Order: sequence, then C-alpha cells, then structure tokens
Amino acid sequence: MEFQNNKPIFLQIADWLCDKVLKGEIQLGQQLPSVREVAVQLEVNPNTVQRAVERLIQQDIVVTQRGRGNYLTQDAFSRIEDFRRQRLLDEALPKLADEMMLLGVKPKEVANALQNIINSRLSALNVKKDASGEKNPT
Amino acid sequence: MIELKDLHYGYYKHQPVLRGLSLRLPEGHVYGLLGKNGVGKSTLLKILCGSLTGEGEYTLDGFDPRRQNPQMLERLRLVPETERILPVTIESLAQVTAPFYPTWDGEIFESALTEFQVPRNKQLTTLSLGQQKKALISLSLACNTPYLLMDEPTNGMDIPSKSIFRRLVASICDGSKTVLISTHQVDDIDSLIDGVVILENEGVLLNASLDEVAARLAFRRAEKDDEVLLTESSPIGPWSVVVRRPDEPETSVNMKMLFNAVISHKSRIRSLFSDKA
Repeated sequence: MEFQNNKPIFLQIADWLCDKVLKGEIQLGQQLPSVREVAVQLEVNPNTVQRAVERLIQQDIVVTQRGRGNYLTQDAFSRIEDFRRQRLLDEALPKLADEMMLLGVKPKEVANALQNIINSRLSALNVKKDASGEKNPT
Repeated sequence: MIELKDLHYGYYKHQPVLRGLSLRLPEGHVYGLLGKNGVGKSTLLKILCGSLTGEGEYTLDGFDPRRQNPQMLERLRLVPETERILPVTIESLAQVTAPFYPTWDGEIFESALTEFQVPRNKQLTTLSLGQQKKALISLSLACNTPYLLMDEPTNGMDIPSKSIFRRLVASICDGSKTVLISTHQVDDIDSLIDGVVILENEGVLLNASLDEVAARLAFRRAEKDDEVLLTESSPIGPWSVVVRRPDEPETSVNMKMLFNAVISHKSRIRSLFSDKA
C-alpha cells in the first residue's frame, strides 16, 4: 500500500480495513486479520496497526472478543457507510467545490462527468465479473 | 529498557564523540536512530553491546554492557554496518551462532533466507555485498533476541529487498522486542519505526514516539499565522513543518522534514517536547 503523506498512517490503515469491509472481504462473524498479519502485509510497525484497530473499536466498528481476536460489530457496515458518507460531504466535496470555483466549472458539468466515470467503472467491473463467471448483481 | 545517563566516549583523547548522552528507551518499540555523519550513532550501538567502553552510567535491562555478562549478551544482537566476512556458508555460521542464543528460532532463519533468496550453501565471501548483508541480517533476526540493534541495515539492498526487510522486521516485532535501527535512509524504514531518536554530539535532540511528534507538529502546507519551522519545495507545492494547532487533525510525520526541522530549531523543539517525560 502506498501511504499518502497528509494523513497519519494509523488512520490510513483504519480506512484500508474499512474498505475491506465495504468490499465484502471481511464479513460479519469472521475474524479480522491479526495485527501481525496486517503489519507484515503493509510493512508497518505492529503498534501502528494496533492503534488503527483501537480507533475502530472506539468507533464501535470492531469489538475484541477476549482470547478470540477482533470481530466486526453487528452494525459495523452501516457505521462505516455513514461515517464515510459524512466524510465525503465534509472533506472531499468542499475541496472539489474550491477547485470548481477556481476554474469556473458548473455543478452540472461535474455531475455529468461523474456519471460517466461511474458508468465506465461499473462496466469494467461487470466485464471482470462476467469473465470470472460470477453473476452480475444488478 | 535501555538507559543512558551522561554517557561520554571518545576514540582519541581531546576528541570526544559522545558528550553527555542521556536516553531512556522502553522496550517494545522500533526506534529510528538518526543523526548527521559523525555524531556517534554507530559508536552508541557498539557501546550498548559492550564492544566499546563508554564513561558514565548505562544499562540494558539493568545489565552494564561493560561487564559482558553472558545473560546480557544473549539478550542482544548487533548487525554492524560492515563486518569481516569469513569464507564459510551462512548455514555453518548459524550452527556456531545459534548455541549462544536461547531464543534462537530456526524457522525465522529459514523463512528469512528464503524470502531474501540468499544461497545457503555458498561461501559468504563469494556473495555480493547485498547478499552478504541479507544473509547476516537473516542470521541476526533468527537470534530472536529481545534487543536487536542494526547499523544502516538497508545499505546496499535493492528495492524489493528493502520491502522484504520491512516485512521481516514487522513480523518479529511484538510487545517485548526492542529494535534500534541507525540509518540515513529514513524512507526505507519510516513506516516501520514508532519512535525516533535524533542525536548530536552534545546529546539527544529529540527522543519521542511518532504519536508524540504528530501531536505537536503538523506536516502540511503552511497557512497564515502558522509557526513555521521548515519549508521545503515538493511536487505538490511548498510543504512545511509547523507547530500543530490544538484543534487541527493530526498529519502523518515526514521523517526527513522532521530531521531537518529538529537540527535547525534545536531549542524550540526542546521546549515543544519538554512536557513529555
């Protein structure tokens, strides 16, 4: 994983774990990868991974079961979704808005461009899924 | 725990290298030991393992390294920057090394050699510099000692090997191990360390966890009214080390910029970090 240079690494690792949940790579009832596994995979200090996990525990996304490791909480998925949506509105969109104002770009143009990007991503995803013989979810 | 109180050392009389070094390094962390050339980083590592004799009070888990107590010696392993390479294979070197370390772990040795792709049955003298280094690091990792000191371990390693090195160190870390890595190649290890020690001949300029650094300093574009310690140009515009405002989110620590900020603002750094024990 390439780390960005503006956000603490432990938060980037927390996001990386949340991405895995949103993508369905970590599921409810399944044990989270161990701190050591994540540390080795991402080539980072285990203490940093531990701090990421602690953040997720604080946010009620992860719960530690004594002696059995870390698991997702019942509503982990919706918590992550809510949290990420809020962040999109609070952080990513204001940046985009600044850039649009600077360049005089209208919201409509951006909306169209976004729709195009999403369409091409979706079709790329479907091609991949068709090739692997999986059923198209839509 | 490594503890130094007013440590002095000089290779020659009237030419001291370390002039009153005091430092406490609790166990369970990976420390980056940084400093300009000649400030005594390698010297400090050699003093800690007892191959050089310093003046002052210094201990490793309560043992005085000068006494060369076997109980202390089996608790630590040093990977020097360069060492004399013997015409033997790494496997036979392991056979004579392992008995000195009760913590020796043959599985770590095997997996490190495999990951690094170091030939096991060739004489070390016939290997390239990078291969020799990887073989000797594998051996020291396998000693699995509570203390592992490494002097410029990534020197001479190719890019994929550096990545393997980070994975291996991450895999041996647990709450009880202390790893002290002296380096100028901060980019090679910045994701691996959680503590940083910046040395100068006169003493320690900074000894802090990266969390403590991130709580006090922010690495970002400078804004109006910021207390700016350092600004460097970067591909995304000027980037600065500033004193963090109490209400702003923490940023990641850029080790190179931290180093430059610390050596150019010694007293300000000292006062910013004076509240920590």
